[in-house]
Amino acid sequence: MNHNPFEEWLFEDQLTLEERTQLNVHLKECASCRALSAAGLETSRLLSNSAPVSPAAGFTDRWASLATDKEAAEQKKQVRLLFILLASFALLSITSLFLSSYFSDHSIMAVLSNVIFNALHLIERTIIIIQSYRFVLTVLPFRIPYLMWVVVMANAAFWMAFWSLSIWKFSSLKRVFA
Amino acid sequence: MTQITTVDLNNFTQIVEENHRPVYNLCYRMLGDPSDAEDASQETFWKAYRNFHRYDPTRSLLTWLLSIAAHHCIDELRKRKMKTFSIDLFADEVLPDQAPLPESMVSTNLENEQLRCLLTKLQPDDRAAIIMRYWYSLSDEEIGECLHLSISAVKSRLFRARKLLASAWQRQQGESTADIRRQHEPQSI
Ligand SMILES: [Zn+2]
Repeated sequence: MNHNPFEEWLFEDQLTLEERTQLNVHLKECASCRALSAAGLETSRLLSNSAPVSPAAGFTDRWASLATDKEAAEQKKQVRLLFILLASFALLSITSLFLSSYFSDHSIMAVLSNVIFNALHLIERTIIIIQSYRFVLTVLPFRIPYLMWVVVMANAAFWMAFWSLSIWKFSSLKRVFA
Repeated sequence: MTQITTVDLNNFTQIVEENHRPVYNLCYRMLGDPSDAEDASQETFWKAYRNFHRYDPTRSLLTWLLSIAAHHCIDELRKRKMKTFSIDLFADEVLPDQAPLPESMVSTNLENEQLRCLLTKLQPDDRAAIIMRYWYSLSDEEIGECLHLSISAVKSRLFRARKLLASAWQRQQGESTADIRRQHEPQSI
């Protein structure tokens, strides 16, 4: 049996008189739609008859204490924010004072060319370091004897372990006194 | 209902006192758990307190509070993707203030549990629309205002929710009759 559009009409708020009549005729013939209609009515009844649930006594007092805590936390946060703002303002002022005194002694073009020169120099240095590192990694393993590697690696491992252990000891001491 | 336009912590507690039951009920129906509902309703009142300057006094205060609560719960549900509620919460449920007679208490608890299971089948937005319609008798327009939806969207949500609830109810009943039948069947070895 085709249940369309009756299955939809069962949950439609506004049906025309004609639609309502057609639906009633279909409901008389169709057990499946009748069951769905009954289920719809039962869920509506459940929803309409269900009493509201209340919280445990003292809700307003709990809210008031929570709100007081939150307000205090917000005030603290605002003070912190104000401090950060003031500090950044002070830092900016000092920087701008320094820059203005610097630029009064040097021309902007001279400062810019100096910056560009230094940047290029830095890049050049970095490239050289990377190249020498690569060279060491590719050439050295074949030049140094096998036993030497074992000694170097064992030494490195020992010092790493010693370093980690001392850091761990130090931090656990701090925790004890905290 | 108290008409307050400017607010401080002291006079807002009066608003909390007057409205906490409906707000809590909405959160409970949305989240299905008393402790989550308590947190959500506390948070709702905090948000309302912080944003009280946005409240339009020509609108109902309760509707405004319910709107904040519904949005908060929808966000919570989306965050947690909470789909199932554990049955052991059944015992912790806080009953309404007017405690009913023991016999009716049993049926009320059972119906509450059935309702809770049914409501979990709905999408958060649809659940909010259904709760606002059945517990607070809000009109389509009011629900739309609360959930920031058009009237046609509210209608379609309510329609979809009712249909889904009926199907879920049928399935639930089918499962419970199957369970009973299974219990009555002779044990075969
Ligand atoms: Zn049919």
